[in-house]
Amino acid sequence: MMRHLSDSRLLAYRDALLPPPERERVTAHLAACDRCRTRLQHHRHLTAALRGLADVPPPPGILERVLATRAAGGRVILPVDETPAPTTRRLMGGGKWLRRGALLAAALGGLLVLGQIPFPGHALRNGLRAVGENGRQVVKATFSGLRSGEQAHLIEMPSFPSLTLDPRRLHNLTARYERRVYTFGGDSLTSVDSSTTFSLRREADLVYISFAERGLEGRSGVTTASTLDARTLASRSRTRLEFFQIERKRRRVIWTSHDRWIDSLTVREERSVVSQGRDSVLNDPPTSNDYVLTPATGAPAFRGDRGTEIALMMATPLSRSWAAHWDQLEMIPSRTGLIGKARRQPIARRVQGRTTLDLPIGRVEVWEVVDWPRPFRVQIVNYYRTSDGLFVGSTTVRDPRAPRMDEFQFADYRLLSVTTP
Amino acid sequence: MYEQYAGPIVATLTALVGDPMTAEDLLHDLFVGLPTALARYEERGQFAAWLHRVAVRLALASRRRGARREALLAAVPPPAPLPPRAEGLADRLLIAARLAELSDNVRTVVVLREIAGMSHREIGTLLGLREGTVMTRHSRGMATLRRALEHDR
Repeated sequence: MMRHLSDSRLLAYRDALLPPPERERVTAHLAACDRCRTRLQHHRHLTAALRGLADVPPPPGILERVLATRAAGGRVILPVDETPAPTTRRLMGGGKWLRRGALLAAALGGLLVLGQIPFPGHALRNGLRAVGENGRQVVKATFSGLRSGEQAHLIEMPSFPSLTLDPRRLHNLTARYERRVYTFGGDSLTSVDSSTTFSLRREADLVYISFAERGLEGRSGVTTASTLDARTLASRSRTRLEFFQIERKRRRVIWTSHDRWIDSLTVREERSVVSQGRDSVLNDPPTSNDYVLTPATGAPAFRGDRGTEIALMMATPLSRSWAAHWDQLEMIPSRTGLIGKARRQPIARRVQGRTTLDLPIGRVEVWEVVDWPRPFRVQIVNYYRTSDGLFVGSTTVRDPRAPRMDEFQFADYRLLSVTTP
Repeated sequence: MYEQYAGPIVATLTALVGDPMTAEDLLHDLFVGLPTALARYEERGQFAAWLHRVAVRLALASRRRGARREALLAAVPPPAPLPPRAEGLADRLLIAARLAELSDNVRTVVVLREIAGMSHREIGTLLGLREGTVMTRHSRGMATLRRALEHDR
């Protein structure tokens, strides 16, 4: 009996590349040999499956981007020659907005430049905004000492300011926020101040971010401090980072990275919580967690220490529907990088514009995702339980006597300064 | 035109570069440059095949540029596989994952042959390889995939 057929012979047979005498020999062998016949079948199946991978719809949103790039004057030179050639890529850097930005900078003498980004339906707000009187959200930004060519854009969101940075131009950036949080308990209103400082430092194409937060002592007597170091590899021309401070007591920050501008984000969180006060029994020993976040088309993949608690969020663009969960993940390394057994507790869902909260007892975060440049909004609402039985958050407070959510807004923020040496 | 050609091209690109985000960027670049490039398109063979070849060259160039970055990313787990369709979900994920595990050289040939449907000779011309080398890499890749999938069943 003939020896078994090699894969290359089987493939050649399958693709009708064998000369007739050999083809007949192979046919004869296949008639008699189960193993080779099965193998051939597997190859056919494999090819069908591989071809199946090509059966995807064109990805959404690309066409918009293409049109926008062309409208902004971007050009790409394609390698059409029959010999392999390197690609030259020249993209004009959105001349319109850079120029307007530069003018503004000159006019304001050192104040931050904000301008219009050439994507449809998206405009940045000014970095200065009037202070409201009823304790509503306030963000005031003053920027000084910008090196020529450096840009930072402030995007205001209902709860948390965020920065879009161009890491190529940025060498150093420090920003400090001061925040006052009012808590409503019974008939009294108390305030707790805290401040957050984050700084970025660029070395080659690594950006180091450190994030330090101090809770100042207020009536609830909670003081926490945490440091978060993050590194992002910026392989594109811009890096956009948004960070949300989620819990007052545990000081954990969840990072979102926005698809094509960040390849991976490594976050090391070192946290030490010192708390005192009647409604806090947190005396966590210092902990350090490493997270590696890799953007993906589906849910993000995480890798970190065992027992790391991470909140996962999934949202569809246009924020018509999203769901938020708490996931407790047991981290186990695997070859695909996606780890762990998750115990999933649903928190909230938004489907077709209607929000439903599935509140477990305890802490809850609910949010929508903002993307850039696709326009959907961010909003953060934090809920805590205090000893008074109230849910208190940084943007909303819910009084159990009141039937509706989102009845009060009471936090105000001030961004004091952004400086670059 | 986008509707017609983008799907299969992005599939090839994703399989080649391994990362859906990069593939989308390349697709974007392809269509941005297309009007200009069409001026230089000589009516040699099918348009779809030509477009595919240009896309592949873009991908290869991008991969060359990305080599240094990959050294930095060595510790990061490989990216998620292609977004799957409802039917045969598990199979598709599996195939995509196994494909991603092949070495770059081998995977390129497998992708170009099986997904893009190019002949050995075309692949050889595109990559600057002898036809024999192409055949070897192709069969080696297919053998690896076959064994891996047998193991997965």
